[in-house]
Amino acid sequence: MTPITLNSTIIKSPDQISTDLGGEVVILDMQSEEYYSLDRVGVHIWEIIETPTTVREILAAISGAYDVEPARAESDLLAVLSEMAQEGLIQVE
Amino acid sequence: MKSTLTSMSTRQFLVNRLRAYLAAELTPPDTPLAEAVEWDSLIQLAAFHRVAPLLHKSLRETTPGNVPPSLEAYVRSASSRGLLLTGELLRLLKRWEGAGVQAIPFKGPALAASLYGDPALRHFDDLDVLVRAEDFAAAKEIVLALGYQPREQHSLHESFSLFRGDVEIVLELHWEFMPMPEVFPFDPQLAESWARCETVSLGGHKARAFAPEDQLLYLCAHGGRHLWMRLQWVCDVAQLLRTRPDLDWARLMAQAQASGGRRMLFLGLYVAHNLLGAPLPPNIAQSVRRDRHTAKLADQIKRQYFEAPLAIIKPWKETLFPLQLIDHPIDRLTYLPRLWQYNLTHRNHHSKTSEV
Repeated sequence: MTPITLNSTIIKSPDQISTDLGGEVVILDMQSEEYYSLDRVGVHIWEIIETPTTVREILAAISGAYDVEPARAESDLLAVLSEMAQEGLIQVE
Repeated sequence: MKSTLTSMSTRQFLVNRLRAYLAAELTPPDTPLAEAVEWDSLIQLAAFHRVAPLLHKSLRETTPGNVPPSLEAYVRSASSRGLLLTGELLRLLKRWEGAGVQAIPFKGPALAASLYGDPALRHFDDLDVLVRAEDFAAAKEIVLALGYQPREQHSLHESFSLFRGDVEIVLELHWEFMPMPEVFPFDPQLAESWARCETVSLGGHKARAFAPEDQLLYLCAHGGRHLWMRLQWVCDVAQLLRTRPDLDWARLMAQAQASGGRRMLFLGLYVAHNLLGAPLPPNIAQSVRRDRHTAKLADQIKRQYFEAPLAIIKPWKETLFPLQLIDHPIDRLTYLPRLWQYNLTHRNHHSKTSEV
């Protein structure tokens, strides 16, 4: 799996579909037929990556919205994205 | 069926809610929620009418702190199921496309996507797809190879039923649009529907969809056949009218006339306009309202949303009601004999479908 850096571009996987249940997003991986759910920050990230976005841009958007120190925000974001990539919900370029 | 125990105020509340939501009004014109509503009754009623997702969305928007957990749970489960069905539909469409089989999904996720922009806003249980008659055999083979089982006993004159057991998905593969054309003289003129189909986005993926005129005619034909029993169908018509001001009314009227579906269309338009405030161009509204026959039928239909559904209290109504929807008097006279004849000759209908 491509390592994720600030310069990586994040794209939603074409093999998933999702729906917004009001504050919670449910995603279905069509390949594995497994469900995932995102809340709070995850939902925000999911909205941002509606169009392909760099990690740097995502970080800027969420840092503004949540009261977290920059270093912590970055490591948290990379961790979330890494997990999503592992599950096949996003693609990293 | 507990519908007789649901109070009038609960029924009225649901209709008001739907009307307001579909008309995109900001505040629904009814009393504050907590005291006035019997939640369990309301949710059950909404579930029966398959409008729970719309109700839920409406409540979430107007009174976000006050959505009952049971409705939340119901809708969440329905949405998840909807996602699964949508995913499956996309998988099938992709396989068919790869084999050169063109398909138009209708009802279910496709209708949800084109009308509401979100598969989660419409309750659906199975998948319906139309393929060309000459492609049916190939389409069926592909589905069987994907692990579906045929359901001969559930197949009808115009469609073949298949079932995927591991996720419990029923697929109705159609090559025609309306059942029993010999009995109910509605000719949807499918060749033109194919020529006019458009594209819809299903969770970011492209799929074919019927042109809005064809969609509306189908919705009215389907709803009419089932006595407009479920409010979902009325909502669908209202939503289509609201979201498609580009509808070609001249073509629609001509098509309704030519296909024998004018009464069915008028009835659907009347109920959606009258009950849910769906917009109609002034000349169309006038024609529809002036049709005495339509007004009379619509009255019966509307009453069932506040009393018990027609089909449940009087099963024979479902046979006779379509009679009133037939455009031409001669066809109405011969409807019952043709229906009985049809039932006699089509006892072994599955042997006919396997010839296709």
